[in-house]
Amino acid sequence: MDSGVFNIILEYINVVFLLFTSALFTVFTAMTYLSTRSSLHYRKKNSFVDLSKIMASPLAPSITIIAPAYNEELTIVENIRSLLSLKYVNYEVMVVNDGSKDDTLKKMIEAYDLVKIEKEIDPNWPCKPIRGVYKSSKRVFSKLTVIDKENGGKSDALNTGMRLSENKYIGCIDVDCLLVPDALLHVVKSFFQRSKKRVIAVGGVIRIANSCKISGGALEEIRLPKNWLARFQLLEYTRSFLLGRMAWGRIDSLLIISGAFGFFDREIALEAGGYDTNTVGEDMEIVFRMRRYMHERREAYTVEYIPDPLCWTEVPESIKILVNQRDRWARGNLETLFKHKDMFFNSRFGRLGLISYPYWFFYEWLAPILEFVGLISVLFFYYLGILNWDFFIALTFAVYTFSIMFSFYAILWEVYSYNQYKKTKDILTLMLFALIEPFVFHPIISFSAIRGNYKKLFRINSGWGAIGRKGFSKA
Amino acid sequence: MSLELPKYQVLPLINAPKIQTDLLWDLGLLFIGLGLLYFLSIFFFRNKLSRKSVSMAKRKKELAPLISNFLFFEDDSSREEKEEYLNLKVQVRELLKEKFNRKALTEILMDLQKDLSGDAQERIYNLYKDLGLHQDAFKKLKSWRWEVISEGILELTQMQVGEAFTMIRKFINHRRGVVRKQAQIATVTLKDEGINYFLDSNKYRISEWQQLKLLDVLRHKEDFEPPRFKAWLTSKNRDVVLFALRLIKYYKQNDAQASLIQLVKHKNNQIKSEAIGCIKEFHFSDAVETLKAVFWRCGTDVKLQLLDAIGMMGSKKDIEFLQSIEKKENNFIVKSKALSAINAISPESIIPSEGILETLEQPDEIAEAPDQQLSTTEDSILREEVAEEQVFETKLEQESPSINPTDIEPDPVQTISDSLDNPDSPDEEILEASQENSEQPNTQETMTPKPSNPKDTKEQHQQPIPDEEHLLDQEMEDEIIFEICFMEDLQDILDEADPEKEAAREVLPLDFLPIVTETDEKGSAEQEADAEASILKNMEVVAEIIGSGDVMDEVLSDEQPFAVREGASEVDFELDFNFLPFVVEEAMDLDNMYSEENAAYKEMEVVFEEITDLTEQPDESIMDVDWELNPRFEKEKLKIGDITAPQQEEDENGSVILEHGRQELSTFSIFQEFFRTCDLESKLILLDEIPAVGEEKELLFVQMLAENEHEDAQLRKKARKTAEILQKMLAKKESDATFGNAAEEEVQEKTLLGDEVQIVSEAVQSTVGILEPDFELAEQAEVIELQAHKEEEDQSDNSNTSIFESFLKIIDKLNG
Repeated sequence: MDSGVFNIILEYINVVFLLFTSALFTVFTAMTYLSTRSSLHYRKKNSFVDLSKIMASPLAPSITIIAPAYNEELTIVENIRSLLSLKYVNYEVMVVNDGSKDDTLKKMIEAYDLVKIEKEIDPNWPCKPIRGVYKSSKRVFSKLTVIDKENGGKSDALNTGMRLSENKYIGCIDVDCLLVPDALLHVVKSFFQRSKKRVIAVGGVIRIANSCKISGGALEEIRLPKNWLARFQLLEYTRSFLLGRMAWGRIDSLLIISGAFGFFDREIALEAGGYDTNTVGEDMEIVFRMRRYMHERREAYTVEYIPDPLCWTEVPESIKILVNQRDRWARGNLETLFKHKDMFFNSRFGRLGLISYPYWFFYEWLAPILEFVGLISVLFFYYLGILNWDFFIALTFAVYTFSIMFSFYAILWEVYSYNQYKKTKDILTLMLFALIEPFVFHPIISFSAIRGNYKKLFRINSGWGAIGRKGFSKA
Repeated sequence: MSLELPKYQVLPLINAPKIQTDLLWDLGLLFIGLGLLYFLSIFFFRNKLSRKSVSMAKRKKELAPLISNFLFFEDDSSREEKEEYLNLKVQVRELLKEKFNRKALTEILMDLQKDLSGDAQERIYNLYKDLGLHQDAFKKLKSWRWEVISEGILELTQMQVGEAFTMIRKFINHRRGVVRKQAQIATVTLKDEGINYFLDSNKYRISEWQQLKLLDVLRHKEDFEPPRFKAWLTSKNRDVVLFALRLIKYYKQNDAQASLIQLVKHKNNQIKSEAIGCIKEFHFSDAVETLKAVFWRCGTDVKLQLLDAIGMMGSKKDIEFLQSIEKKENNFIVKSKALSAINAISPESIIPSEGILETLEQPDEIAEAPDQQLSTTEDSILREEVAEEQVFETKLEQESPSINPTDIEPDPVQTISDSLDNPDSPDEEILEASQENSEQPNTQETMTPKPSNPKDTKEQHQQPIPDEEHLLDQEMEDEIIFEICFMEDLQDILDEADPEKEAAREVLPLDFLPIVTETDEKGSAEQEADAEASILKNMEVVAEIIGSGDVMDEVLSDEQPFAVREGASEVDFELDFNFLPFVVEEAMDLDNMYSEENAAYKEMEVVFEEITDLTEQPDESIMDVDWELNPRFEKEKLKIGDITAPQQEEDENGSVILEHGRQELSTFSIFQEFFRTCDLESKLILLDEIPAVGEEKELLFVQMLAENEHEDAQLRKKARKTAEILQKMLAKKESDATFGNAAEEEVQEKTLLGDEVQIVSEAVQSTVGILEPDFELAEQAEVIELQAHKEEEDQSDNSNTSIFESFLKIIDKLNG
């Protein structure tokens, strides 16, 4: 092959990158527009709502909050206390102890005076065996139910809770998450506000609680995380939740609800088969499956998204834990996309097949791989001395400036809508992190994604990976 | 031969398009520009929003005092205040020219109305309109922006501007959901008939959220007369039907049985579900057949509801259907529900079958153990026992890997007894209450003074509740024991009161007090002082109520002011109030005994004079005071009444002296003492009230009053009239009692019950005479007798209470 042909190939590679980047700019610009419209609409619409009034309404639906717990002895008591203090009447907190090896169950029994109760279990129980169902002997904790079962993973624990619950809606949360007191009121409103469509699931924003002042299970003061890695994640979450998901919600194509804060119509979730126990991306997979189920039933439905800051969680502060987490996300993403591959550009699934799925395929799964390939190509071309420097620098410049612009827009929207970080210094810090993010944080994320894909494609066994938590009390 | 393709012909065709890197640079610059714009916008918006909120807060702070001046202005204010008010009005009118001020004022009023209620809230609504702020809201209704219209509607709704109803209701079917929903809320809020208008004219779907909010509006409406919602069950709008069903259930309108049964067949699950809910609520058992008919076509949730309803309203003929569900249904929860429905209809039809052992033979080890133990020495027995225990423990460990207390399945009966045994149990209060209740009849029947030592009371509370049968036996036994004890105590009193015997024994003359005191720890002098202090406290209140009577003033001035004992626990108070009536009644009885010229009571004369002077119906006065202090004492009121009544009952079977004393007491009117301390005007008012509450003793008293020549002529005249009226009323009461009326039905029932007792007792007696005693019959007789006794006492309590209440009313009247 002579250098002419090689040059042509090289040029085409450049064109592919340019097209991909241009599409990325277009999609993100569209998302900015959609999220802005959606947020403005949400803001106007909800300025007339007084949620507190419905707290004790006879029509208020029943909700079960399912919180799987595995080796959470350090924080479990405080976390349950926080969950029990939500502003709502008709709800139950169901903690599923997923065969913890530490004293999680013992701590709960001692703190809440739990006693074992009789509960009829289906002989054809599809989850791991249940060791016992506990209720508190104190009336003040009557909302609490604890299920002790053999270890089967998060999905199995959630399925157990889903099947044992008798309420209309279920909320699947991480037990170490902190919900704001009126979180359930927002959720109920989201489930109930549609008249033409059935709301099958409600998701919400996850906010970062690292360094925030938390006392007695309640958020007292919102502070910018002190840890640099947590700050990058804060910026990332702001972009993702305030712009990304808001936009997808606007066009009713939301394909993921965070495992930390997701609420489902129990009937549909069960009929769709509940959580898949064979994936680490169960939170995304269940939404795919429920959507498919509704499509196949030809019923009008929707998935709602709440942009209000209702759920606060701790994010990893060490690179190792972060990489593990993102590795798992990437594997979950790949597993889900592969499982539902028939949806790819399938018009039978409408926007889901034509927009959402392809977006997830190209920009959530393929983008890190392309980035990696791009990086390798640059190094290779540089080695061969045929790198098109002009193009490389111009493209990098455009992408970099775009990412900064997009991050700034996310900060702007955060200030305009919720303004959680009051200090000017905090805003300037976030902006500074937006400037350095593409060089510091982004490579870590891309590396994690590549690792996850590599593990999955080469069938290297890897579970959830440990996620060490400091616990809010120590934050 | 090789084919050589001309390069210049192929390559141009497959050449990649030229990338304009300049464009990328331009794009980059654009992004930088936008980034800078966002950067500036961030600070611009931050400052703008914060400035806006600060200035609004500042303005609100300035305007809030003005608002409060308006709110608290009274029409009957002084001239200066009125002038000031007018100045304020002028000032506010000036302020209202600015839009920002109007907005601030509106916000203040809207915030305030949320926090206030009643008259104050009404004033806010009026002020809002007086200031013309509603005009701004009306203008908003004409805006082209949906959020502005919604804001206007919200404002008018919250400020209850009824005039806006006509304007707002036209938005009820607005194409914009937010406006439409806001208008619907407003329509229902502003007028009572708004709900009718809404249900009649709504064309759109009504979301669950909207229904929830509408119901909330209706729930909080004052004096709202809901229409009959069954009228909308025929609506073509499915959501209207659904909402109507929910309203029917909420307002318990059970006049739509046929429609509700029909709606169970509705294809929509929600409607079906709500209809079943209503049927269950109103217990329409005619619907059972329909419920069964639709069962197999429903989803799991509806099936569960249906089974619940069938279980509640079904009969034995429905069991077959439920059994068929148990066989045919695949869903485990539905199957379980069907079984529980069968048990609901016919209890214990289905008994547990899972995990039940087939044989209950004794394990070999246990069966053999005695023989082994007998055949070995003591040491070997011990060793074997230890070994057996170890084996048993190992078996247990094998069966349950981790043994902890929570693994033991709680036996409901055991749990209850455990909780009863545990004094720290949260149910302790309930236990105490139940024990008190269980103890009360005993006390009533036997006239037992309450346990004098608080420790005893506590100990009693800690005892587990015996079963009912045992309790009754115990009560009867206690009754007999107490009767003996009481007579012994009474004899002691009489003996001690006898000066000769008294001198011989060197016992204090007032040693009768321990019967009526609650604690043994105090000396009798201290007890006396306490009792007097309590009485004095009550007297103070009576004196306050009636007016300062001379006698009372004198008495009160002579005595130490009442002070609540430091460290006195609630129990102390409880006990005090339990025994106080005894003090009074005993005192009165003994006083009457003295009036029988019994020499034995001479020593007590002085004390009794004091006590009787101090205590005119201390029961009432005690209650007056202490119910205010602590509502708990209302319960004590019942106890006092309960204790008093059986004493009279017991007296009838008691000694002649007591019987006489009781008769003497019955002639004493509670009005007597008041007439000693009241002025003429009060006496005349009291005479007006006597017929309403008076009995024979009042009649005697009024007649005595009418004949008393020392009394005022006007009073005597009035007393004569009162006596006549009272006499007539009493005669009427007597005739009513003869012919029987509704009010006497209870008494008749009691008589019937009494007859039943007699019959059963006779049966018992006859049985005893012939065969072995029929314990079952005897127990039954006891139970019925106790019931009859209790009813009698209850009636007695009621009469006491009603007199007290009437008396209180009179006192209130006297106070103007």
